[in-house]
Order: sequence, then structure tokens, then C-alpha cells
Amino acid sequence: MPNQKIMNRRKFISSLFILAGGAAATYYGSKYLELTDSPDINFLDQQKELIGDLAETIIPTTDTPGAKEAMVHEYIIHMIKHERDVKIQNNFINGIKDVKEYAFSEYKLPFEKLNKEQKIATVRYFQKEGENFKGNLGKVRNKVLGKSFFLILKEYTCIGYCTSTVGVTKGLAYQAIPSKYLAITNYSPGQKSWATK
Amino acid sequence: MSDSTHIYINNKSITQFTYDAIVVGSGISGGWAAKELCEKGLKTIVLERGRQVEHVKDYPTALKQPWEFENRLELTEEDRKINPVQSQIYNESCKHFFVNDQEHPYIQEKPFSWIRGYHVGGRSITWGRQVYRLSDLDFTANLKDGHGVDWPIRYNDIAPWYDYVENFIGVSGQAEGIPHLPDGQFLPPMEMNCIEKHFAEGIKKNFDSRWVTNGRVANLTRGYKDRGPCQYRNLCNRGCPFGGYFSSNSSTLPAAYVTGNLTLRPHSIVQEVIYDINTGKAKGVRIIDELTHDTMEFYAKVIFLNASTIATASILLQSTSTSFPNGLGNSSGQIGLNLMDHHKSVGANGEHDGYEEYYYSGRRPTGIYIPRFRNLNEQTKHPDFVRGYGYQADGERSEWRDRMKEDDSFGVDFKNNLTVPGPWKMWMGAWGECLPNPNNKMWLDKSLKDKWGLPLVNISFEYGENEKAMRKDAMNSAAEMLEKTGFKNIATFDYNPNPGTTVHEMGTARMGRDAKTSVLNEHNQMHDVKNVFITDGSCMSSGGCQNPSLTYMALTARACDYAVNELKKNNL
Repeated sequence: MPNQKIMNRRKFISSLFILAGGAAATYYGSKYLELTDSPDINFLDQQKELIGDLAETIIPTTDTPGAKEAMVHEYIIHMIKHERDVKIQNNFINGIKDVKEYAFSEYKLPFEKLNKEQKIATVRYFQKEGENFKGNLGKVRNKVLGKSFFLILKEYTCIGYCTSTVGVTKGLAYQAIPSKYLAITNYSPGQKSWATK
Repeated sequence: MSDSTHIYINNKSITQFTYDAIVVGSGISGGWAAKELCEKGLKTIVLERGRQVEHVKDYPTALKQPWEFENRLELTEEDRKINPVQSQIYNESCKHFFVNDQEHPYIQEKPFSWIRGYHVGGRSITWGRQVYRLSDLDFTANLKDGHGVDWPIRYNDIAPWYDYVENFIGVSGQAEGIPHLPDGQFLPPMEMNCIEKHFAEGIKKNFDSRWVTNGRVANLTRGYKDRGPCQYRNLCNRGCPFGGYFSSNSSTLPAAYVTGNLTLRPHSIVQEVIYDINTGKAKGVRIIDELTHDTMEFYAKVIFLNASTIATASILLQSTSTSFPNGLGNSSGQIGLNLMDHHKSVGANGEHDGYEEYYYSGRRPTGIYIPRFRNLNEQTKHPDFVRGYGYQADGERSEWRDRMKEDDSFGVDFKNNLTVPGPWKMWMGAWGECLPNPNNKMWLDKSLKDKWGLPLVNISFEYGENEKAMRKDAMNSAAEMLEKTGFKNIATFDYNPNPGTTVHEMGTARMGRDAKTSVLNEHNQMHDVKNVFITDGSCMSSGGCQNPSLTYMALTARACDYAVNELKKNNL
């Protein structure tokens, strides 16, 4: 394992999950409080570039603009600050800290300075880390521990992108005022989907 | 409407305070009462407890683009904390048309979400606009199975009034000749897309007595009475600057206003209906000004209560006198009882492999409708429950909100998949009838007061065995219908929603034939107090499974006609 601290956090989370409900839950109960603590919200404001780079790795620039041009980081930070679930806030903030540590221990560089492949490899590490267990097990896990860092990042990146000016008007198809409804139209492969329902 | 409709009376002379008619509430039924009474020549004051909302001018979000919303229409912690009830229904684009839960508390002895819009137009701005007629299957239901009391009217009594209101509001829909879902006065329907057509044909082929029709919706498929047509933005609940759908603000209140007979007074919280022991009639209402907390009285020959189901019952329960110590017109003791909603958020969805070469353009503000098919007759009798449910359904291609959850990947390929349409999906959700049940009820808790000194409402509501059995059937039948029509990856759901979240409250001042067991007669007139009429959801003897607003509107127009005739005959 490249980084002891990351490993410990992950180990703690998986053991909590496995043992939840058992006698050991009492021991982990105090650790669980870490997840429900008041999060360090202001930390996020200093991470704009890092969050922008993470979002861009999720939705990169192609023939259409990517997440960075869509200013998705601003939206992610805004939403984490106003998030409904304190566990999501903590999972996200801890995730950002883990990304920093991981990049440094793997590449001896801050995440922002990594090349494209290294960024992808780093995000892939966290994707695996937070792999959503399928089915009921996954649901229970999400309920007890909150969504994984990767899932939070990915969902807010998608929402932020697909509702942004460039995402709506360039990444997707949009008609502000359609004026008419055509129930059946032809579709050709590659044609963008509608941005709004 | 212009600012001249805000009146703030300083002159204390009685004549200034006297009108021919008082209408309490300006929502979907109050707007109709105002229009009908004004058009029939009655000087009418509409008392609305909330602020003014002027058509077009007061729709601040109507033309906003998705990126202009700070939270991009997602809920936040503040929503959950401040508005735990209303935020189940609203989003960022229409939250200004819902009350603030902190300012308008109530008690839930057993959970019931009381969704409210306190402003001119009420919930007619944010309503779902689905309009379906009731039939004699509904009007005879109580008589046949013994739940609740018999409706004092039948379909023939209300049919011409359905025609009348549909001709004014504008309803798009397809005539089908279905006996228990009578056709109406329709503008052209909003068409089905290819997967919905596929589904409709499959249902016809595979099932007897099951129909699929275009959603009947109060959106205009062509320009109509200086309104619309619908621009297919599907942003109705923000208020429509094109007048593309029916609301009090866009339709009935302007019609009332042009008669010159309308006075609209916002910020007027009705504290009680004043009973005159000498005449045996109501002589007027006392209000509290929402902003100044001053009280004021208005007098009229006839009073229409259209404050909405729970609020109307509250006003009656607050209106105590020596003649009516338990609330105005409450000699039956029925006021507040038999609260109903429709139960929903149960059904199934599935995917289809075909039709990849088709899509659609424009945002249709409705879906398709599968009318009730259970307990229509002996052949369709279900062993586990009485009454039934209809489905609202919708076919569409998977778009980014679904696509983002379809796999765990990220990067270029993920983005390419995210931004193109995926497979076709059908979603079917049931809207089911709740039986009238005296244990589902609201009452006043006099020990707790709101900021205007009025007692808080307490609500106790629970789904019974009949509703639970119906939900199970609705879930399984949806899956069966999708399976038989060629869908795959079928998933059933029951989100077990809070009662009240369908926002179809009904039944707290029911109509009936007997003054001992009901509050209103066949003309929506109080049995006990003949010049008080109630035509909002509280009048409903049973709920059917159809969206109810159309019925409130038809009953309102009908009751106004009766009331004005009675006035002319000096009977009120």
C-alpha cells in the first residue's frame, strides 16, 4: 500500500461496514462520529483548481467543452457547502485530502501537476476504492457511511456540467422555447440528447 | 389585473364592507367562484390570505435558464431544515409558490404532508394540470360498498358543468368512449411518442378492458381565449408567461376582473364566518390582515368557502357560536373527518431494445394515462380490495440524469455516452383511491397558536388495508403490463410516500343526502347554514382515483348557478 493513512481510512470503513450491527460496532462507534462531525467547509475554497482538475478528468474536453470550462468546480464546492447530508460533506472533504496524499506519495507531485494519464490513474484508484457495492449491500453501505468520494464527485460533476451554460448549449442539445412538440423524430447516431426534460 | 385590484380600505362605513358575495380563497375553485359570481352580476370580494401574484409579472423564474439557478434545482440542507414538508414537492424554480413551514406550522399526530401555496392563485399555479372526469362508477361507489355516505349527485348532474368548465379552461385530450372515464370537450391531444404507441398497441392486444390514452391536461394545444398555445417548455410550475395552461391567475381571475364586479383583497386571513342567530344565516366573515394583524369584517348575502380542504374545515371549526359550539354548520360532527388523498409512487419501469432510430423534440407537459381497470364490474372484481387506481405513465429515452448512474466509469467514453440518448424506458405510476374513513381526520389544537393567534391544525392520517392491498396489485400489474408489451429489465417500486404528498386532499366537509351524516347538500350548500357554499376539495364524498381539480371546478360553477338563482328567488 502506497500510503498508510489512506489504507487505514479505507480499512476502517470496510471493517465498520462488515461489523456494523455487531459488538465491534461500539468500538467503531467513536470512529463513526468522525463521519458525522462538522466538516471543514472552508477548506474547499482553497481546492478550486484540484476539484476542477478532478471534474475535468471525469468529463474531459473533447470536441465539446469539458467540466473545467463549464466551471463545474464552482458548483461542486457550492453544493458540498449546502449539502443535505453531513456524511457526504465529510466523505468529499476527506476524499480531497486523500487525493492530495495519494498523488504525492505515488508521483511526488500535487494532483494539479500530474499529466493526463497520471490523473486518470489516480481517479481510477479512487473509483475502485469507492466501488459501489451493487444491490442491497451497496444500499446499506451508502446509508451507513454515505456515498463514496468518487460517487459524490462524479454525480456533482455530471449535474454541474449538464446544467451549465456550455454543458447545456454545447455538450447537449437544448431548446429554451421549443414552441412545438414533435412526438416522433428521426435519430441519427451521435446526435446529442436533450439537456432538459 | 392591475394594482387597482389591491384594495386597502380605510373607510369604516358598513357599506364599504358590504358585498353581494364573499369568496374565501383564490385557488382553482375560488377563482371559478369569483368568475361565475362576478359574471352573474354579483359584487364579489375575494379574500386571499397571502400575497398578490399577478399573471406574468410575478413569475420571477419563468424564463430562467437551467444554469441561472444557484443550486441547479437540487435541494439543499436549508430546504430540508426550513421546509421539511414543502420541499418534498417544490424545487428551486417554484419554491416561492409554497409556504414556509416555519411560518405556517401544524401538527402531525400521524404523518400527513400538508402542501400549501398561500398567495393569489394558490396551488392553481403549481398544479399537475391532469384533468379527468369522475363517472357513476365513482358517484355510486359509497352506496355500493358502504364506505362513506352516498354522493347526493350522479354523473348526469355534473356532466353539463364538466362541459362548461372544460370549454373555458382548455383541455387537450383524446376522446375514447371509455364508460367510466367520460370524454370531455377536448382540444387536440398531445401525441404519444413511438414507445408509448408501441405500449398502447401491446396493451390493446394483450388485455381486455384496459385502455391507454393521451394524458388529459389543461395545457393548450392551440391558442385559446387569448391564451397560449403551450410552448412545450414543460416549466409550468413556475407560472407560464405564455398563458399555456389554466390557472386562476391566467384565466378565471382576469375574467372576473373585466366584469368590474371583482374586488380582490390579498393578505386577508379569514378568522371566522360570522353567524347571525336572528336570520339563521352567515352574515359575513372576520379577517386578520396578514401584515398588520388588524381585524376587519366583511358582509355579504352569500359566502363561498374555497380555502382548500384542510383550511376550509379549519375556518368552520374556528367559527363557533352558541348555535354552533363545535363549528359552523357542524351539527353532524363530520367537519374535519374523512380526510382523503390519492396514494401514488408505486408502479414499475422497464427498458425496450427497439426504436433506436427515433427520438422526439419539444417537452410535452404530460404523459399517457391508463384508466382504472379493477372493480369495474363482476369480471374485473379484485378479491383483495374495493375501488381502484389509474396509471400515469411516460415513455422517454434515457438521458443524462439516468445515464450518469448507468455505469461506474469516467473520462472520454463516459462523456460520449452521457451526452447521447440511451435506450427507451417506460415508467408507470399508480394513482389510487383512498377510502373515506372517519379515523383519517384533522382538528384544531386550541392550546397552540400561529403568529396570528389562530389555533394550529392537527392531522392524523393512515393508509388502510384496502390501500395497501391496492398498492401491491398496482405494482405487480404494472410489471405484468410492461412484460407483456416487450419491455425488459423491469423494476417495480413502492416509495412508500408520506400521505398528503399527492396534494389531493379531500373530504373534510362532505356532501351527502342526510344532514345528520354530512355537511353539504347536493348543491354544495351547508345543510345547516343555507347561504354558505363549499366547493373546494373538502366537499368530496369520495375521492375516485382521478385527479380531482376538474371536479371542484365543475361543482363550483354548478353551485354558483344555484346560489345566484336562489338569491334571485330571495331564498338566501
